[in-house]
Amino acid sequence: MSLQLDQLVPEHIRLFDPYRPSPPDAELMRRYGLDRLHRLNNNENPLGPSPAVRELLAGIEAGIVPVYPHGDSQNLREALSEVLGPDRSRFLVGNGSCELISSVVKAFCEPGDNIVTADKTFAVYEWVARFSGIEARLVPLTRDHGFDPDAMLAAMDGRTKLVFVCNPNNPTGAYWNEATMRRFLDAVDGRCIVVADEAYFEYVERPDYPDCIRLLDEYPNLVVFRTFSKMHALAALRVGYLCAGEDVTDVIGRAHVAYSVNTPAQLAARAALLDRSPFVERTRAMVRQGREVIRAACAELGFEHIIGEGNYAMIRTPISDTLLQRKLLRRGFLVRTMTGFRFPNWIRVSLVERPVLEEFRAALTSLFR
Amino acid sequence: MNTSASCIRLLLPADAAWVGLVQAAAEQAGAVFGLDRDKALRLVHCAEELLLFLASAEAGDIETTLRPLSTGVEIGFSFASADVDLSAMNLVSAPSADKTDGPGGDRSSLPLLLASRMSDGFRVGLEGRRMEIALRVDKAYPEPEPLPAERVRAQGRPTLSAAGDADALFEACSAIAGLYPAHVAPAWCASPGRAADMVRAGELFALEARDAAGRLCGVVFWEMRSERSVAFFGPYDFSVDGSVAGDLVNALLQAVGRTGAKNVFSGLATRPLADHGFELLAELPYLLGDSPTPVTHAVWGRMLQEDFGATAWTHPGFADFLRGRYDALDLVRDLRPVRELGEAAQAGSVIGARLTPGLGEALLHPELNGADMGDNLARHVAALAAAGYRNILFEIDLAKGWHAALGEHLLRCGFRPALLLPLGGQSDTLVFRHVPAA
Repeated sequence: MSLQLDQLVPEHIRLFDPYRPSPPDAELMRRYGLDRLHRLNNNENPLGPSPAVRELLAGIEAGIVPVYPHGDSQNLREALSEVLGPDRSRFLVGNGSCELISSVVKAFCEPGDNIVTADKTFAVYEWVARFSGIEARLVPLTRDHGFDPDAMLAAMDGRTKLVFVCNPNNPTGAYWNEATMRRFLDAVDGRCIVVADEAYFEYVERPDYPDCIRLLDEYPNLVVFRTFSKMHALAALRVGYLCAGEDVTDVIGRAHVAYSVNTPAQLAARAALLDRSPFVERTRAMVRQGREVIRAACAELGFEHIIGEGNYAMIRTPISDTLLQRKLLRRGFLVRTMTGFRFPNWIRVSLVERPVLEEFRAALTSLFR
Repeated sequence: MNTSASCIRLLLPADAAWVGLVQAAAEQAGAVFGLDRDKALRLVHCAEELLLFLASAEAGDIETTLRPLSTGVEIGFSFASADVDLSAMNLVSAPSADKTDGPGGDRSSLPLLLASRMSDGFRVGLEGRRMEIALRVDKAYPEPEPLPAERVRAQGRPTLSAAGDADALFEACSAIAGLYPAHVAPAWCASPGRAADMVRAGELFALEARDAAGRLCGVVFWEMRSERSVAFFGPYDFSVDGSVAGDLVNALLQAVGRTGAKNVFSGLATRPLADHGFELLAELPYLLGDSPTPVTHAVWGRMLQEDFGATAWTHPGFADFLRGRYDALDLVRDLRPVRELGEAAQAGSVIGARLTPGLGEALLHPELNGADMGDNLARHVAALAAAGYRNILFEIDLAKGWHAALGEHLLRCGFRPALLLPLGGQSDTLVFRHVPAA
């Protein structure tokens, strides 16, 4: 019996190129003959998790494993409600924000619909749309590397169901202030769902940066995404959440897989949220220092750079980003190439502890001086 | 075979009695899929001769597929037999007199030979235990005289956009013909209708730059060379000051950067590209026409995605070359040497070929291994050289051990490793260049 796979698989799946992650660190280190590897590619927080989360994880017993997790993360949603304000029914927890992106697209889009986002932003909005058979309309960034509200409005039509705004933008760190966000939402006027992805919310210290959860009552078409992977350093546990109006959350929940967040993840996320240690402030201080190290390195080498909000910086390189990635990997540094973000010959570097970034700076300098 | 597009499929025995049916199907398909009368007759001839060959080879049940391509029609025969000798599919294969003449002579390969000569291209492959032969007949396209072209003083910064209609492509191809030497013009530039059909089918992509007055200031083309690699042509910069090339290259990278392609390199490059983040992969000397002095084709490339190392088969004859190139490109590879294990090979090898007469280039690749591979290679080189092809290349895929094992035959036949294309095929590919004096 021969399998006629090409007759079974929809075209949008057949043509989609799957994401291929890097090999496990141990395998990478073997291939490259490394005795240490600094991960500057995924915007992880190396200081974490917070002491409260460490303590909780150390105390988790194997006895919880045979039991299914709570199906809709009720205790975590209650904690979110307690800390952030909206009722727990307005929160939906997912296996990382990526699952939530998928749930939102599934909930609102059908063939013929489209989503609108930027061309140079987090790729998963575009990917999920494409492998769901939905058109992704990609709007160029502005000259200062931010989302272009007017061009996004112009790209919308009657079949636009979702607009994704990455705020601050990954990888450029540019953000919409509250006035811009409000102007945009006013102009959309409820015609479609606007997703404000605030994955790096906790890193932004600007007074004009909007807390979109506070805007939800005014804009019922607004959905806010946040994650525990970045500031809270729970990337391995995969926990993200969204907050929206109760009706909207209910609709998204229908397309969302229950039980997708495991028990240790729910417990750790709750502990991280309720933690009142100076962990977040220590992380912010680390990132501030990191920005200075990268600025100084770029000034010394004469490299163009983009340093905005978030725990990352972009550097323009005189050689291809992919070649530089290989050269830096030989020296023990993993960085993110930016050609896939449509920034050819740029790399993105996570802002981690100063000593590591000083080592990175030395490696970069040795390559180009 | 991908049969998701419109096609005609016939399931039938490999029996000469069915020739009429296959001919009729080919004739109808030729007309429906856009071939003119002459080309449709060629398709009919291919169908007839292939079926006769498979009948003589007692290939059993076969599946015949006729499907439209962007620029022609393909007829494919798929059958469950690994023992059919396909050596007559070789470009330079010729029926030997002692096998075909006289009473009792073996004429079994003659139909296949004829079919492969009537077609514009072919591919042969084994997928599991099924063998597939597919022959391509191209549409006939007009080759118009190029429009006059001159360099442009661009008004403002040109705007880039996709180019696709035949008239825009004709304008671009005319400018290339008028402003660049012929050896850096892609072959399909001579027939813009063909280029337009390729663009419409998503097989060729074009980005053009136009200034505020709507004048064409430059163009770059690209195509998927394999599932994981992109080959580009250009950038063709028609501006007076050469200010458009950078934008074209940047736009090319942005366009292909989020596709499945892992690598992009020049099929025909028009200028050094180090300033745009490309690495020089090779400088290949090309002998054009009767000229004793070669022109240099630089091959520029760069990875589009992160590379974390891989495994590649190698042979002692080119292992040092590979190590040198991998070091130069900072690529980590586990090199796995092939070994002679004494396994039996089928008798007849098949070598695929893509010919570019304007460049005098023959790019060969192994289709099927066989015990006669060394002799077959030598036959190809001799025949191609006699036909005026002075630039003979042979490409192997280092994902395949049997490709790497051809190293011995290639070296003996005068081929030398010249160009490593990271992820140019299923894995890295290595291109050998024939050096007559070697």
